[in-house]
Amino acid sequence: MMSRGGRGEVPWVDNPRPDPAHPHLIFSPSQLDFWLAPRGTGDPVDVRVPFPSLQPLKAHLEANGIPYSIMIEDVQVSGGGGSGGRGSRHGGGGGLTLPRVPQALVDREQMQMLRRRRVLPLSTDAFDYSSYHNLDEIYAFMDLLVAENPNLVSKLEIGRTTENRPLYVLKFSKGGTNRPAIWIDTGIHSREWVTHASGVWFAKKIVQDQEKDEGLASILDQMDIFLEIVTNPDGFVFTHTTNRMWRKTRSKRSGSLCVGVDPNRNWDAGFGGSGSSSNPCSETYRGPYADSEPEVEAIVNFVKNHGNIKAFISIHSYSQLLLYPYGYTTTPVPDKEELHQLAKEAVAALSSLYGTTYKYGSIISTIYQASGGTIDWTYNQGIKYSFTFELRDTGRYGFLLPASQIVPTAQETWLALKVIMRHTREHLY
Amino acid sequence: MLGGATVVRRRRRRRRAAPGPLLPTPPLPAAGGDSPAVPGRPPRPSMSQGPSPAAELPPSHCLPGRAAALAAAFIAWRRGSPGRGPALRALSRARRQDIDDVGHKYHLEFVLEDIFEKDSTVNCTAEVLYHLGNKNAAPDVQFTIEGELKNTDEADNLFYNRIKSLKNELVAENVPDSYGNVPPEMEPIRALAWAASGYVIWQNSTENTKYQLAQIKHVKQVKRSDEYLEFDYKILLHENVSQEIIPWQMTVLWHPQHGTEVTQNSRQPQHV
Repeated sequence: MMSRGGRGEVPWVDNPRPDPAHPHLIFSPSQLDFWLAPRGTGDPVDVRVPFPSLQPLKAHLEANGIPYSIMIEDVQVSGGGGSGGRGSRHGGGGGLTLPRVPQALVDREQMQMLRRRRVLPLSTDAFDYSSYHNLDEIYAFMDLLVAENPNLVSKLEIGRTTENRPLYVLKFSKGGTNRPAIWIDTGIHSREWVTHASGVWFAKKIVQDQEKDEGLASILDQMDIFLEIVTNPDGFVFTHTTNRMWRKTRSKRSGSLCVGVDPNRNWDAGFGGSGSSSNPCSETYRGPYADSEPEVEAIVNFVKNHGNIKAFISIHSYSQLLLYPYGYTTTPVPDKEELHQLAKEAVAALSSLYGTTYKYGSIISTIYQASGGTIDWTYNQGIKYSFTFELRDTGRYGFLLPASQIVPTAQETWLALKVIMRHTREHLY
Repeated sequence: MLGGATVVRRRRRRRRAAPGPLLPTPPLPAAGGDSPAVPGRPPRPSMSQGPSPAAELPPSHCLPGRAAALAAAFIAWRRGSPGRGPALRALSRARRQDIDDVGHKYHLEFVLEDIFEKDSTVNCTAEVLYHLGNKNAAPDVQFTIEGELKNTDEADNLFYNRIKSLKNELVAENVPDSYGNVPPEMEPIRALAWAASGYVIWQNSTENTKYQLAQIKHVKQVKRSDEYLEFDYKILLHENVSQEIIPWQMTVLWHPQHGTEVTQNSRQPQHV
């Protein structure tokens, strides 16, 4: 925490990972303004700390080994909060003195803080699309969406994870039986938070635009859309509770201390090749055998049983790439020219919105050799239009993309998805 | 610091820990064109004397992409400061030479932006030479910036004076946080980590790696009696090829006139 003397600044303190051994703050309530009040041992608290109390509080927390982090440096000047964003660069010095913090500012920031907490909305219109959500919130969103749109949207359970969480897929359908379909998944790698957030946005977008957007309406007249928003729920929960950078599943195997398999190396396409690792501690560990992970097996079974999926799009972050098969071999796919041209059009549509630049090409030439990857398997199953996206950004924030970029990312990606979906509909096979 | 070309060799021999399984270098596409159908090595002269001619590569190919990321990291170290964070915007053109018994040399043209001002861009060229023989040697990097980088003296001096006048040492964690937030007060600390990590990235890069600074887990100021600012950082590097998240410690010295120096750095054990 920094001091900027003479301004009456009001810094924040938050306690995100309280140690149950040190449950109490000894300051009296009158000295501290709790924006998220103490609820019990083990729960975090948010405190607005008046400047004179700052140093004593810090000293107390540190002396007792209570972890804390500063969420807003100076409440009266921060524009930040749940919607993230970089904020303006600090360039000005002292000089301005405000005798007290405007209450309206404090109220707004408190509300933004609370929005970051677990407050479930009552409708998908009230859902905050420009924030990151946890698993419970996303699963609640899905149920709301289905309840609000029973004629278009249904929820399917396609399996269970290692830790026995349900794997849900939203089906968007105007009718028919086993229509040709588009599959979209997000969140197969749990640290790639902008993908789940985009998936939620796509779901709402489909519902909103199904009548008024001609392109989408035509697609839904002939085809179904399947959307799996949280493809790796165990990993996703782990990124919220323990390790924000967790990528893999959470499967455990005797003989190793290390946990998890890379779900994008576990598919039966070039499985075991040098574009994956045999080391259980590695981020690209392929697993003991193909489809060993229930999260992968669930999709494999779904695709095989459905039998009529015509486009398969798996969404990752980051790097700003649109990729087609193969990753496990340099041999080009037979449909390479068509996929390359389609990728080019999709990327052009994406860029048209905010100027975001994407590269495109086969996996192996554009990023690296990857064996046992999702879209290599789906392509080999006969799903010609198999693509992988790597969303924003290119490394400035990487996995920790500010929430203010969720909606722009989803919006531009949606344009690319529509190009792929439209092309699929016009070239059904 | 001076503009223009800078030739810097590796400072000292470092034992570089491998970031993960060494993957074979994907073959290059055939010379010319854009994403050709059959990748292959560029044609070699039949009587090779010295380096092969430079073969054009599509900028979307992963190999020049890694070289460009390395060049950008190197520039971030040499030119970065608390007020300036050079970052790669786009790779425009790439060529590669295979030099017998020496290594692979990439000739790059790219655009840099500033992490503070995305619209502030500058064109650059660079040559990156990955040494074949000694895998522990850092690549050689030379670069030229066309035009001037934005002057950040005012922001740098403001930061310098602010930190120097702190009664208690600065301490912070998780920058950015899980949601991508960076408090405005912490932006210069982050930019300094960006610059210093450029050095660590340069020292540890190979043709099979692409490093990015993922997060500052912890930073603590170390008070000094001399004019320098000193910070002890624990950062996370993301290695894009192996996908590993690698904790790294670095001790960073900075002064507005003397730039960024990493006096000590070491790879830390990873979580299981």
